[in-house]
Amino acid sequence: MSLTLKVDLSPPRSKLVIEKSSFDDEKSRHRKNVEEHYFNHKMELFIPGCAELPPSAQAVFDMSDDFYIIKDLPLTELINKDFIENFVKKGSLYMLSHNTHIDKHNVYAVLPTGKLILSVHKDTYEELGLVGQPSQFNRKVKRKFVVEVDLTQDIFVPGKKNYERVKKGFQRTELKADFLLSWKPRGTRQSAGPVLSHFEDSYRCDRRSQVQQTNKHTELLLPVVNSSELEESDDGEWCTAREWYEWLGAVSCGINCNEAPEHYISRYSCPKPNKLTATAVRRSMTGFIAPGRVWAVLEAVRSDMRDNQCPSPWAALTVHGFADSPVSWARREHGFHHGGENLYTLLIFRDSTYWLFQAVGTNDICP
Amino acid sequence: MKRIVSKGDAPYYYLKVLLEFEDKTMAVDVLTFRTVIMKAMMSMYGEVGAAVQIDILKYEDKTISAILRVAGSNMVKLWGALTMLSYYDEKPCAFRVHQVSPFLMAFAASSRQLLLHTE
Repeated sequence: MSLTLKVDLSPPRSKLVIEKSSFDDEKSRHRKNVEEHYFNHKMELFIPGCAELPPSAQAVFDMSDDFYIIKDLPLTELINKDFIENFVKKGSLYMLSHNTHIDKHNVYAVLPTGKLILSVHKDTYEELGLVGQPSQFNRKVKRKFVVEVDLTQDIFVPGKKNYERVKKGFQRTELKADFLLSWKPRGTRQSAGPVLSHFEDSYRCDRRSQVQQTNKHTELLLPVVNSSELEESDDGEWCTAREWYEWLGAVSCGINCNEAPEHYISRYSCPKPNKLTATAVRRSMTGFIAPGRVWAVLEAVRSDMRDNQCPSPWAALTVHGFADSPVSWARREHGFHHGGENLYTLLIFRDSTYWLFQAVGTNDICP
Repeated sequence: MKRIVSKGDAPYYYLKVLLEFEDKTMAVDVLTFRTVIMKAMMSMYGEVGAAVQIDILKYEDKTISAILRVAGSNMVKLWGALTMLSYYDEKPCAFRVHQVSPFLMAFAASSRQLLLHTE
């Protein structure tokens, strides 16, 4: 008997989608892309050519926007009738279990569409007794299952069969988790306060602010890009979209790319052709960010560029999703395999064209 | 509107690694760090492995941590070699691989580090 050892040397698969379009195009997907990326951990705006953020963008960053953390919340609270009527149906509610790793633990999320998503282990799934689907990423072994409960259905009320079944399942399994929560009431200028007072009496709640950070760059090399061309040119007049994306990543990670050190250490430097800019500003926000805030920043930057508030050729807005969210965009399943990246970058040009980069890891469906 | 979809193997992979010595007072400069990586590749794959281009994009000598870049086809080899390393210069040490991604941008945020405690 011979024994052969098969070594797989291929790296984990990943997907990068680069899209070129215009904000004025009717078919443009930029709004959908921002609004359907529900769980955002970090947002970063990079503007070359300015020492300070332009006024409208600055105002949006300065707006206070808090989120809440609720400790040890049993899932039965999420199907509480008052909770559904007063919060789920009357605004955009974003909830995501905190400190739960999707490749190890059960993860729960409430989407603003009123869907409760549970990504649970096989044993929990069997005990729960609810109908779900095996996770798309381990169909053979069926290690994890995804259960969806529509909280906003008219027939999802106490006394109805489906409701009682879900309630019994949650009571039997005693599932609970710490939750990050953000709620935007529909229409009114009401604050998110009521949602806190709803939980405050029975559970430990805490209000948190987004952490903000500003970085300033001086004498930075910018790769030259051509807004109408993603691919490389024949005679190297501009950089490709992929090169630009890698460069922006380097800037965001605080890597000095103006000059390459000796070859033995690294061969990476700013892609060519490039142009020196005297100053650049990078502002970031970290926490639990609702898509509405990202949209507000995008609109503000566009209006600043229209009003010529900053002399920059372009601006870049990057948004990082939660690595352990059960969904990436809309209801597309998301998982963790070596990494849980689900992030997008909008490169906004002056002429209202934009490039959209959507990057996801192995356990993700192509956006 | 134009759309480019790249699936499968990325041209480059990035690794966020930390080198830990049993002797916590060890000082390691970037050249030594590069040599440790080369030795690790050498002992696993010989001369060919040692010749693989690995870029140290960022190095922090206080924590002996770095962001590395390697071609997609060599990523698994590098990861394997780093994992198997246990000695440098007869001093016990180990690499910790914290994050691996085909996107450099992904290293700018890490939601798993967001730890919130209520008092």
